[in-house]
Amino acid sequence: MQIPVGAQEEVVREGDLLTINMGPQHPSTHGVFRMILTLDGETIVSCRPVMGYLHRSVEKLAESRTYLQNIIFTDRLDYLAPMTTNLPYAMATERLANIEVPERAEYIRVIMCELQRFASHCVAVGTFASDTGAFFTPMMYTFQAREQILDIYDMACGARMTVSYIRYGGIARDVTDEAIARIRKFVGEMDRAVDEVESMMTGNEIFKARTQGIGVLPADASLAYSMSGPMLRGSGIPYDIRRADPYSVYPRFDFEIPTRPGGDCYDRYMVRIAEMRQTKKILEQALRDLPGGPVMGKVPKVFRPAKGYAYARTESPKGEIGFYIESDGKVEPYRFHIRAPSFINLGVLSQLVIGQKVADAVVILGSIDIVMGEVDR
Amino acid sequence: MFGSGIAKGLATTFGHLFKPKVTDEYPEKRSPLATGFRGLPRLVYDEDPEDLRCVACSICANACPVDVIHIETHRGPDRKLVLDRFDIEAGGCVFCGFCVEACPFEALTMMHGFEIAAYNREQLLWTKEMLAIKATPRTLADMERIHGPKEKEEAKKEAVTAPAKTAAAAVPGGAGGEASAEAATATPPPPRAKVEMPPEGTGTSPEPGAPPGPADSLSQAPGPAPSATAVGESGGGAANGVTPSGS
Repeated sequence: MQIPVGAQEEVVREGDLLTINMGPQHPSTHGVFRMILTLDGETIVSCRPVMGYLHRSVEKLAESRTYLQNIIFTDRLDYLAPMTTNLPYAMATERLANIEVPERAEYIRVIMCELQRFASHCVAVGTFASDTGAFFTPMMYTFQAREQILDIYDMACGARMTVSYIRYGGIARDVTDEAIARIRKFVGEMDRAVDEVESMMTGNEIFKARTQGIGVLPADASLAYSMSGPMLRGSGIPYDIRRADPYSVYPRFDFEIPTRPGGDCYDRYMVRIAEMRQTKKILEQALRDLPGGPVMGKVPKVFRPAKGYAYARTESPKGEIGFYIESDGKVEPYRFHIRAPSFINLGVLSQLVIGQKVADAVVILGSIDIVMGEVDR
Repeated sequence: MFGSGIAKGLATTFGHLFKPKVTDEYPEKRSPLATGFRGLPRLVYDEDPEDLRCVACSICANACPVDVIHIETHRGPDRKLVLDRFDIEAGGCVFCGFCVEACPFEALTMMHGFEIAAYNREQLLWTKEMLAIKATPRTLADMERIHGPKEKEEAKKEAVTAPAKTAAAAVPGGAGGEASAEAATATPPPPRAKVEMPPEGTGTSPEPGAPPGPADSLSQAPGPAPSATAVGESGGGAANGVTPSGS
């Protein structure tokens, strides 16, 4: 069949190969992400990822705003995990200006970030289930748990998603006793929420058939592509910034770094589930030890760090997130760079999908767990 | 046995049929918002809607990361700043609350609600009259939560007992000394129409009345004084309109 010129730019026949366009408006691409796939029948021969549909020039915008004002950009990078994106920015700024953070603020930061990890994995696992064909039922249940975390954020900082909560020097405001009670109640329910998801997915034969042995990323390849987060741990490498380069009060807590040896989509899912259980462990310890006191350290009214640069990295739900901030002594940063885990984890996608079926491309993309706000930034 | 995993999942789904619903039937039923909810910024008045707490100092406009607060002022007969225009482009507001945190006069709070949708952009421009909100216990509770932990309360207490000491103490570290030293020498910037720090209305007392003299107020005020310093330092307030604000 002859395709009219200009009707579908990307649909071109070359011999037996077919080039198709997937995205940027495809519901399975988790945002505005586009893949140009070359197919041989149902099998993918090559994949070209196209990014930049959500580019907002955050790094450049941040150079014309004060350090405080830049916090709002960190909310909007990984919009499914704003707390864990606030934290490395705050830490980098603190290193730049030598600010001490009070004990209570550190604990509340850990509590909020671990809740965020749970919420982000809820979305990752829920949408992953939708990608494998479980049409929205598991997602509704995981979102139910996530909704409670968002309510806790509402109580703590007045916003559900664009929190702007973790500031350099501490946190924006203290959590109320009411919110702490709510967190305690939720921590008690976490296991049940994870069990519920697992009952629907982990043992499900269809789910296993769709994910086991699909998108296998060997350990050496995962290192070569500088993967981080569940992508790396799903390939059997126990690397977690919370252990490898401890920050905040994480060294005080007892928790495990779950890994799985296989490196396929199923193992990445299992790592996320195991991390959700570890999160509960950390939260219980943090709530038990939560000290009193102030939540904001001494921060100069005119925040103008001395010349220099600082880099801080933390373990976000997606992987290693880092902020590089360079100051030239003015009120706004001279350079503001973000090491976004979603972007770097996405780099391996074009290799993972080769030789897989078209339907598996969706599953593999879902198992990487990207957020386009962070990829394009 | 093949299918046992699927059966387990179906049992979970079936079990949910008998559990209470977790969703709210918005808009008929609304779950309450937490104290300190960050809605649209609003201007607080105590008794008379015409008599706002705002003293037109523009600190909020400087703190705004997205520049949606537009302030125009003129000087009244007693050299006091009079607020002509206080507009917020609700369409651009990111609800970060930095303006409320920055306000040293507790003149701003945030709306306890989120329903500000409009049919066109003109309706999204909130003027001074639309933004005015009465200071009720709920408004003040919201404001207190949004302000967060500040040395401000302590600074205010100190200001009551020893106002002279506060000037150096409120701005900690070397920045404080630098600021007050420069502020003492700096001439007050000329009054400008928009987003510029006026010398008046920067006293530590929350009452809008009786502003102290320009030089005096600059050296005493913990919040606004550094802004004036920064403007002076960056070559006579040139280039960028971004001045630092109290965090």
